[in-house]
Amino acid sequence: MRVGPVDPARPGKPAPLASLSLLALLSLLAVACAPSAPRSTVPPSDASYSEYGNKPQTRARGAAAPASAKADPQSIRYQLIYVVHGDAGYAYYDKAGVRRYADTEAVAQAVEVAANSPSAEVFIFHQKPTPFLWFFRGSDGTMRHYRKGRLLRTEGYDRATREDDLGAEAALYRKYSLAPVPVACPPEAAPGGPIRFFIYFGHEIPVTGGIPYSRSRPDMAFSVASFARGLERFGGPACPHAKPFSLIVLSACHGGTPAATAAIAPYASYLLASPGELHLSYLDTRAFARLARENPLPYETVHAEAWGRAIAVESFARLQERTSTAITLSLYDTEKSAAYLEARRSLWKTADGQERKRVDTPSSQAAETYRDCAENPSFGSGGEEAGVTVYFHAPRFGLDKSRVFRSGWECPVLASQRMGDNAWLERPFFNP
Amino acid sequence: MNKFIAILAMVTVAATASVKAAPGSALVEEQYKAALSHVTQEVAQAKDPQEKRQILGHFINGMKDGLQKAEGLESISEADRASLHAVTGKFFAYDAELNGLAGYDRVADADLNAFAGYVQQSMEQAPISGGGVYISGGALIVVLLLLIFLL
Repeated sequence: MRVGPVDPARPGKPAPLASLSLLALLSLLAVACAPSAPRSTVPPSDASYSEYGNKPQTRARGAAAPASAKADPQSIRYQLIYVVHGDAGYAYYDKAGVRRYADTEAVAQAVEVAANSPSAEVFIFHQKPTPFLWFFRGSDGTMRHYRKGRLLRTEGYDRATREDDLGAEAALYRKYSLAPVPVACPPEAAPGGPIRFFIYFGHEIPVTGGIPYSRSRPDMAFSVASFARGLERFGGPACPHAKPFSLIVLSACHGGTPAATAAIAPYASYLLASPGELHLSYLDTRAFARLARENPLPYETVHAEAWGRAIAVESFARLQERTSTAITLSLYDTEKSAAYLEARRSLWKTADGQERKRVDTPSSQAAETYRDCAENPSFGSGGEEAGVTVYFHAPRFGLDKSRVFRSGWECPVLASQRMGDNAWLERPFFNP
Repeated sequence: MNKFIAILAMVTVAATASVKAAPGSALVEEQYKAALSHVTQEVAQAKDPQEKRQILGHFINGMKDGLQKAEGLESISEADRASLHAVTGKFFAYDAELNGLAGYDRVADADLNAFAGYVQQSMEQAPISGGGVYISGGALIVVLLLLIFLL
């Protein structure tokens, strides 16, 4: 069987080398010079949707929204903003050996929430590049916009090139949201507009921006600081009497470090995050739809705590079913938590504002990168007195399998001390 | 089997670098996670505890050896060495627990399937997201070449 191009001038014979080279060169030029491809409007068709109740309703771009979705701003009680990072390794295998994709599952649960929330406006941003004609680069991400349970639009977009502070997503949100984003703090607490929730799914957000986060854009920085700026782009300035978000859910590893919680605290009344590692089974936020239906207005701060607890409890139960590694979820009352951390600032932050890393101690028995902050007695227990409710389940194996308590925070360990001269390998622990 | 373990150790190194080494890293990482799942399924299908323990021990020791060789390369940076070291340390701990050494309770025969799943899930969540375990793209190539020729 003949493969490859054929020279039309010499039927039946392979093309000469020069022609092949030219073809390859043209192909390269076509790739290099291709303009940004048309935006994808294809929703995910992954089998993950079968786990969730509702499939997304697709609409052609530019088509008019259903009449029921053309609501006045007063009829929207809640806004949920999902940002799902999918531009890295998110595959995992369940107990039956079936491959799953954490980001696709996260989008699927967001779609289920959106389709079942008649009093909400929901934005779902999936930060995953889409190819165009299998060959060209398409968009960097896809937005799905729901209002009153109906999909209004699916739109591709490009992300930033140098530093990702969710600017592209926030621009789309500002363009389509029924509620305007405040530009300044009100003189006093002035309730008005929808209650906002922000939900993020992804890998650990680096404290510093030097670590590549997105596979397709390894030079694009992403950090806790840029994430916090993104929160402001979506919700407006961090006002002491009117925080932009009622609850932020951070479904990522090590979202509950002092540095991360302190950076996010000004933007939300409550924060739900995992101080430790979090398996890609992720948090379960489907309770949002039920809570939005069951809770009448006026919405009070106390509701944010109740909603956070409900999502924590349901996520905790699901993770217990699926995983045998440690599970730690913390619900932070950000006012109390921020004050607690501020009082212990020198323990987790250096004088020049950098994240302080703990020096490892000889008693450490594994190559850990984070440790419970409460192992330092000066930090305190970091529990209820810090405004933190901790949901902890010990791992089935490992040194922590009998552990019954964890504080609400994990602190980084100083890498150079931890790794120096293979010290841990030489300890008696590993050479009995 | 030795070759399989060596390849798995190799792709472990590659998977820790998946975010940095963009081209082809997705495929390598998929293979890595598929291989982890394969070991778990193999343990579950093994008939007796001795066989299960043998599969797990062989896998863990192979990973330890491969990762330590990679770690010993002079050409990699200290940051990369630290990343590899963190992953290697996890396998030392798994080995100790499987065999009841160094203060660990020995994994009971009835728990071997669950232990295999635990190792798999720990690796799924740890290499990329576990506290910034990354290796640079340039060092990755050197590490892979060494593993290919030495293991």
